[in-house]
Amino acid sequence: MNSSLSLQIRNVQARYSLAWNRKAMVALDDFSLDLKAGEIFALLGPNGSGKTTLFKLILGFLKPKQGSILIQGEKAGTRKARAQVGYLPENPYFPKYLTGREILETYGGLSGLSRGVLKDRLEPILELTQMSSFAEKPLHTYSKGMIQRVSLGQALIHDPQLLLFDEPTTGLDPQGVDLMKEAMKKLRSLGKTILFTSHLLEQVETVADRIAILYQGKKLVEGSMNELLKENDAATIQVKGLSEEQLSGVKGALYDFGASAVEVTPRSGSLENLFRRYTK
Amino acid sequence: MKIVFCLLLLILGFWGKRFFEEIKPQPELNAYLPLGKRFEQQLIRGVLGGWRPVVADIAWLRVTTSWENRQWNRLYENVRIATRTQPESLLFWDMGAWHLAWNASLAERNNRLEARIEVRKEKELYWAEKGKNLLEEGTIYHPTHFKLWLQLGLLHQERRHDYVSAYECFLKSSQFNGAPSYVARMAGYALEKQGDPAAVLNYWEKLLEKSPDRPDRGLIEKRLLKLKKETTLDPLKPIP
Amino acid sequence: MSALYLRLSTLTGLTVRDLLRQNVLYLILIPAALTLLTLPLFTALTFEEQIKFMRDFCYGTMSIFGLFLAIIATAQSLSNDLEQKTIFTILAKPLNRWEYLVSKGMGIGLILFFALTILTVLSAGLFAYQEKSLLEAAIGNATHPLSSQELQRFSDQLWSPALLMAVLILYLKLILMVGFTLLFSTVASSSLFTIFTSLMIYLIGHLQSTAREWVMGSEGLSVGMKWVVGLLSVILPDMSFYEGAERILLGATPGLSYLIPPLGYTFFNLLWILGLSTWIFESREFR
Repeated sequence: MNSSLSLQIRNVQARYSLAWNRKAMVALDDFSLDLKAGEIFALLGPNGSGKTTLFKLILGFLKPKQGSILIQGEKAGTRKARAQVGYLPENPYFPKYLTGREILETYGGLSGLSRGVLKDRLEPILELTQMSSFAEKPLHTYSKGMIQRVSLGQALIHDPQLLLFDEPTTGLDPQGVDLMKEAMKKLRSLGKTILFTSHLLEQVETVADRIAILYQGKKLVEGSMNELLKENDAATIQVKGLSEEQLSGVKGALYDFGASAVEVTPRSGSLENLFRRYTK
Repeated sequence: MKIVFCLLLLILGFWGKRFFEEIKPQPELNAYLPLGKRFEQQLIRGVLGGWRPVVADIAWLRVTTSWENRQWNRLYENVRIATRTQPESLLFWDMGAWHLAWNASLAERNNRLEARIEVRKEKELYWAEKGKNLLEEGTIYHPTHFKLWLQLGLLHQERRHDYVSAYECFLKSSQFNGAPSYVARMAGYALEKQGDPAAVLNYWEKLLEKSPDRPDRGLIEKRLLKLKKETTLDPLKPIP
Repeated sequence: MSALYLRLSTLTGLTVRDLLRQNVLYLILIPAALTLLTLPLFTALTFEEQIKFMRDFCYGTMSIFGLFLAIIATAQSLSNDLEQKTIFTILAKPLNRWEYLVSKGMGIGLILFFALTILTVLSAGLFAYQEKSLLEAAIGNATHPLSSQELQRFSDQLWSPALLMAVLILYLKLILMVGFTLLFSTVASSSLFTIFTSLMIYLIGHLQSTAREWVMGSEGLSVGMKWVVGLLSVILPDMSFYEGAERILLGATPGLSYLIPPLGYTFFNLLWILGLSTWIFESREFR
């Protein structure tokens, strides 16, 4: 056991037994993972690849058929281990009649936090999640993005070391995505470890330190973003202010240096950036 | 650890449950009934839940309206529903029998719409018998309550002129808790009707002997003297 | 305040608020109140009959609607958490699963207390109204005027403090049903199954003691079968422990010690139910 690790998963296998004693379905097979404090790790994979199953194993909702999971050195599923985990589910549901602040207070209470401790915790969380403007309104008036922020707040309320975010940006507008990404970076700077899943690869690219790709319950690849995305013999050169004629000169010069394939295309801005510019 | 905690709770819970089952102080309602009847009662209790007494009460309200409308068969049916549904209510047996053996029976006797006297008589006896049967069944559910035995005695005496049975019922009634002192006297009066002066005198003497502080002692003494005068027996000699 | 207390009180509070917001409480409480309000429509012949009817009617209403509330609210409480997936955010917190079950039970217990209190107060109001109108009618009756002794007896029977004890015994019975329903909820995947099983247990609970006596007393039964029956009787509830309420309705006026058997029986039953349901719930996986 390495106590400096926030999460240590060793050779975990999870199976779902099917009804009427039919063959069991392997949801996760021989999966291992180590997460250090202060890193953001992304799990990528299509639906049914075992991402949510892994979260449920870490939280103790499912029990591994073999292997072990340790959170800050504590066995997954125990109360001590859960005290170290904050969970943001994919589709969070909270009582609609409560306000955002009441949700945070309730989940704080469920974590055994006293009123005094809660009072100290609430303000920084409201600030981080930018909930202050609507925290006193009941949940039924909230948009999807607002609910996601409340969900983030409840995951952080008991100050856990390890954060599990299941598809945290799905269904959010670009501002919501930005807020979530900023929050994740801020949490990383505070030394928190984040394990998250996403379908949106571009967003993963901008925030994750390391990634793993899961497919049919198996980990196909794992590594840092730089390592995995680096193409050793390829490079991108960005230029601005050159005419067509000058650009073909640059292209020729690159061929002269021995380049085998040179592509020059005029750059256009992304739709996302355009949207952001107008909705700021 | 968690399994130990669960096991401890299980063991402690079962132990406590068993303990309370063993020290359960009072018998179940109808505990003295035959098992079959008890099972029937518990089934009604389970199926109707809290509505069981209410169902019985509503049947009882229908008894009252049937009585007002002189619908004797309907009255009888509803008395049966009430007594079957909540037999532990003494009221249903007591009043039910009164409706049958007195109200229905006497109404048939005085039914001017029926010209044939023998038919009236037959019906009068029919309802008196129904009342008697109801009270007898009631005493199965309430074997130690003086009231039903008293009513049964009255019914034997007044409606059937069966003084032997009346005496037995009054005597039984007088032995149970709460029986007023006059019940024992009623047994004596019923015995007098049987025409055995020696037995009657013996009964009154014994009654005084058994409970000398009775509130009605004076009345019994007077009765005793009167009876002794009326009989040829020597009042100063002990009763044979 | 200890963390355990904070966790329990928070989830209990959440359960209470949830139930107060759900329709199930009002769908049961409002018909119960309306049923009670029909009481003045029933008039019996004698005071004795009238008092019996009033007591039975109010107690019966509380008993039936209370049973529905206890079973339906409990069955729905857990299945709602599962269906809406709230259970994932709740149990992701550092909360023991037994704490979750106990808090649910306590929350429903408080709601039942609240519901029975409302129905008791409403019944008392109806008693007062009926008493007034019946006495007015009796006093105005020139042919059969009531003596002051009769009036006093009528009032004493109507306002017997033992009736509150009957309500308390009913509450204990309903709490036991909450326990059993919670136990079934931990294994069931649908609330309909839980409700049906709990109602069956309620019925069997009434037959249990008689059936056990019959089986144990019968000659031809094998030892193995007797063991099975014995074991079942350990698990199944014996509802005859709560018959005290019925005796009170029939006129018994017992002391407070009368409450000890149903109280003790309920408490120890809840203990083993908690042990077993925690065991099951601990090993239950949430997909």
